[in-house]
Parts: sequence; C-alpha cells; structure tokens
Amino acid sequence: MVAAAKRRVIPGFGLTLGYTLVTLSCFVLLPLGALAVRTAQLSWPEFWATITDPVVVAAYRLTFGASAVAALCNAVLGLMTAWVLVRYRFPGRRLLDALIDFPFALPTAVAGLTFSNLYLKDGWIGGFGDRLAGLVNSAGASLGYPALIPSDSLGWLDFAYTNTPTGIVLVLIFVGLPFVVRSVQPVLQEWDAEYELAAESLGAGPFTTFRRVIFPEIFPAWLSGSSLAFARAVGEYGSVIFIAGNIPGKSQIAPLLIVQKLDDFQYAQATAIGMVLLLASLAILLVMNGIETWVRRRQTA
Amino acid sequence: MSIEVRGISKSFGPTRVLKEIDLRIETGELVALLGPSGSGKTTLLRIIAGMEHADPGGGSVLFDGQDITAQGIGDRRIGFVFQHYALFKNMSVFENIAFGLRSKPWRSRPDAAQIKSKVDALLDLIQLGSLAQRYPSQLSGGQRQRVALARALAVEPRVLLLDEPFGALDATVRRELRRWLRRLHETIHVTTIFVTHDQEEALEVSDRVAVMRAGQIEQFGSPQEVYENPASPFVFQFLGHYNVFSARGQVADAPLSAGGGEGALTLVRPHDVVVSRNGNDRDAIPARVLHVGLVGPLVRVELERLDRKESIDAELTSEASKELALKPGDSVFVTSRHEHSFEDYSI
Repeated sequence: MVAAAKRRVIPGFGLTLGYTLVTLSCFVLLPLGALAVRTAQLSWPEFWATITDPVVVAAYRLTFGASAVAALCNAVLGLMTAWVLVRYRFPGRRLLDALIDFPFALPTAVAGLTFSNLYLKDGWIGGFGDRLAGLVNSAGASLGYPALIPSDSLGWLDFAYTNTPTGIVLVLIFVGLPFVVRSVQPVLQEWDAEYELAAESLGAGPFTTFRRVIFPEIFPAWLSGSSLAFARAVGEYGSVIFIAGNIPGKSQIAPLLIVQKLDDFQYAQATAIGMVLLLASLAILLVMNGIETWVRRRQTA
Repeated sequence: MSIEVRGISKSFGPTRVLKEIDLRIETGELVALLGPSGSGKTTLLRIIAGMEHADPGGGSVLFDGQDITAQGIGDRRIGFVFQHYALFKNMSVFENIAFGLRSKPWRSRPDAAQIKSKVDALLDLIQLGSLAQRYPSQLSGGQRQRVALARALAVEPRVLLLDEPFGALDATVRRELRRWLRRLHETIHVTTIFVTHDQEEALEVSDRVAVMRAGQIEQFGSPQEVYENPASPFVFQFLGHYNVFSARGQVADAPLSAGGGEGALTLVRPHDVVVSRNGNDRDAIPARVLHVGLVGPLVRVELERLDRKESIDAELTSEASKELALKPGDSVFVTSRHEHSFEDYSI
C-alpha cells in the first residue's frame, strides 16, 4: 500500500483554512469594506472638510493623546503588576490575579459611571480633601473643639477629574490594564532564574540585570500588550462618555463624535471620521508590530 | 585561591541533602565532585558559589582562609558555568563575553578598547574568534559551552565552578571539550571545581576527585588513588564495571574470597578476571561462557558461574581470547588477577 499522505495535527487543512477565511471575511473584511464604500460617497473636498473640522481634529487629538498616556501608564503599571504576581508569594495573590481580568468582564458603561461618580467634585475621591477636612472638624467638634482646620485647607487632596482629560485617562487605564499584565505574565513565568544568577555571578547589580537581561526578554510581549491596551483605548466609548464631559472641541472623543454624526443622519461623515481613526490605529499597530518582530528576529535568528 | 568547606549541612524541607561536608581544595587545583544524581554534588557547588545557603549554623565556606559564608554571589568573584549555559539570548557572543566587564562599577570599568581586546583574547582562547557576532541560538552545544566558559573567565574569577559542564553534549564533543578544559586549566591555573556524574570524565580531567554519596564525601583523592584504593565498595562500584565474587554470608561457596574474612565483600574489575580452560588453581570458579563480544582490542566475555548462577563479566585481550578460542557453552575456570575486599560495607 502507498504510504498515507502527510499527517497533520488538525485534520482537513482545506476545511479549516476555508473556515478561517470565511470568518475573517464576514466579521472583519466585510465591515471594513462597507466603511470604505460609505466614506467614498463623500467627494474629496467634503471628506477633507469633515476630517479637518476643528472639532473633529480636537477629538482626534484627545482620543489618541489620552489613549497614548493611558497605554504608557498601563505599560508601567501592568509590568509591575505582572512582576509582583509572578515573583512574589503573598496571601491573596490568587485573588489579586483573578481580579486583573475584572475590567474585561465589567460592562464598560458601569465602570464609566462608577469612575465619574468617584471623581465628581463631591465624590469620594473628587472631594477627598474636603471630606477629610469635614471629618476632622466634626471629630474635633464632638470632642468640644471649634473648627480645627479651615474646611477648604485640604483642597489639594481633591481629585475632581470628572469632565477633564485626566478623568478620561483614568478610565482608559482601568480598561486597558489586563492587556499588559496578561501578555507579560506568561513570559515571566517561563523565565529561568539561572539567567539572573549568571548575571549576578558576573558582578551585575539588580538594575543592570533587569535592564540588560530580563527586560529584553519580556520586551516583545510587553510591547504587544501595550499596543493592545492602546488600541482598546482608542476604540473605547462606553466608559469614557460618562466621565469625559463631552464638550465639543474640548472633552469630546472621536467615537462620540461618530455617534453624534450618526444621530444627525450624517452617515458618510461618521464613516469618514471612523476611517481616519482606523487608519491611524492601524499605522500605529503596524509600527509596534514591526518593532516587535525586529526584536524577536534578532534574538532567535 | 584555596577553597575550604567546613561542616556544611543543607536540608530541603525534611530531606538532608548535605551532611556536614568538609573539603579543602588547594590553590590552582582542578577538582571533580563525582557522584550519582541526588548525592548533593550540585548543591555543594551552588553553596560554594553563593547561590544556595547552608542551613543556619550549618557550616561555613572559606576562600583563602577568609570566611565568605555571608557574601552574596556578586561579591565572591567566582565564575560559574551552568549545565545549560544560560547564555543571554539577546546578546551576541561578543556581548555575552563582555557582559561582566560592562557590568563593573563605572570607576573600575575598562574602556571600549580594553573591553574589545580582552574579549578578542578570550575568543581566541575558546577558538571562536570568527563567530563573535553570532547569537547563542546560532551556535552548537559545544560552542555555547565554550562561550559560557569565556564569559565566566572575562571577569578574572578567583574560582571557576562548573555544573555538569559537558552533561548536555554528545560523546565525541564531550571528550574533545574535556581535554580542552584540561589544557585550558594548565594555561590559566585558576582553582576549578566541576560537578559530574561521569566517572571517566572525573578521572581523566581532574587533579583530585571527591566521590559523593547521599550528602557525604565518600573519598577524596587523586584519580589513581581513588581508582586503585577505593575507600568503600560504593567508590569501587561507582568508578567502573565490577563483579561481585563474594558477599556476606556467601563465603562458604566463594573460594575467591580467601583474603577477606567473614562478612567481607570481594569485588573484581572485568579486566582483572582471568579465564582458563583448566582448573589447576584450587580457588578457580567453574563457569560457563554465555556470550563472546568483540569491542575493539578487547573481548568482552559474559560468563555464568556454575555454583551460584551469577553472571561474571570478563575483559580479555584479543591475544588471550584467540588462545582460548572461547565460544558460548564452553566450560571454563575463572580466577582473578587483582581483587578488592571490603570488611565492613554497605552498598
């Protein structure tokens, strides 16, 4: 008998490839195509006018700016969180580990509402200094003292970020945190402590060891986690609109602008804004991916 | 730099891995820690390196008479070579070797030109000058091992420690590399300890061998001493093939044990077994040939003694074998040229 054809792990290469292509077409390529077609209904000057409208430009700037800042914060915080979760054993570690996925599961609108309430002028964090001053004074009063401190002296402890770009960044950090943690964690878990011992035996201090030995190893995963967090932040809508304040040209994000255009039946304008958002995100992701591939190739060439 | 280990004990949970080890290694010596897996040899090496710490109050480590038990790895100025090399994947061969030099505090850090000349010299030493810009993943196992060694040597360590340095390599490369290590040691003369479970490797390369068993040093001496005068049956058995000619309680039917008294164990190496056609010697053991195998200049003969049905391995020279013309089924008599008897033993 003739030997059986080459064995594959997953049977039916043709079938699986076909399925992949159909899925990709239905769920990714088709909507993208529709987006392009819709946008093409605009003439070139109309398109240009739409995307260079000062309100729109301000929205882009806010969306990409806040997303970039949030992604940077997440890159640092996420790396630290992953490090702590992998390298240390402490009570509650598993609970903390499970909590990391919380932003994935929570409806973002709920997160947005919660955040905006906390950071309102009279919210728990937004009015933290005033509340603290009030607490001190009422405690003093119950002991028979007059007002110990002026009620506005702790104003610097008020973090009233609702309706400000800082508030947007805070929400985006919340939404994007799991990406970095979950990307870096497996790499750190696989890490062999022998490399650190080797570096240490060669006289390298902890900082040098991290910078030259550990960080290059986790860099690709870290970068890809950060770009995912960034991409997620650019597209985030539900949570941001509650905290942003949505003042046109000031605290209005691009996705909200799209929704507004849709409400005004300006479909083509809406898709035009979406198109620019998409292309910019794509360009940024491609650059990040390029860096990642370049680094990986250097290591395993 | 001499290395001294005093009363080192180490436990992992309830398991005692090292039991009050004492060992003194002189300056410039090349010493092998030899033992089966689980004998504690790697743990002892890691304690000397500072990567593990002995149990509290469980002994001390001295370099040149100075107690360094409390010092960290980085302060001991050791060169450590890992079994799986632990080369930095993201750095070229050159950068791997230069790592220790670049990591020095800036006041004592050599400048770029000095680093370059030092690394180039080391690359020459390991004969890999042409591969300086390669990455570890592009090297063979033997080349990686040499890079790991050069990286450890770059910081001019006072002591070189190698953990199963040739363990992950194939037989030919192993043999080549251990000769190279021997020659290297003759040129640089840094006190060196290496861990191995391969007796041939330990005997061929080292100045002295410490044979370890279950957390203790069974014997410490030159390869010749250890091989010819093994301190215990364990050492004898670990250092090569052997035949049990008699054991406790079997003295009556074991004529070869005449030298040892009751309770003795008599062991004979295969090359010390003498096979003859006639049983003139009254101590000779009658045996039957099971198999005759040719291995190079030696002929390996598998025999079964007729009295106890135990097998005996013999190694004959090809001349002796031709003279005897042995074939399976032949009846022969076995005596020994040289034997080791142990009075008090446990295997």
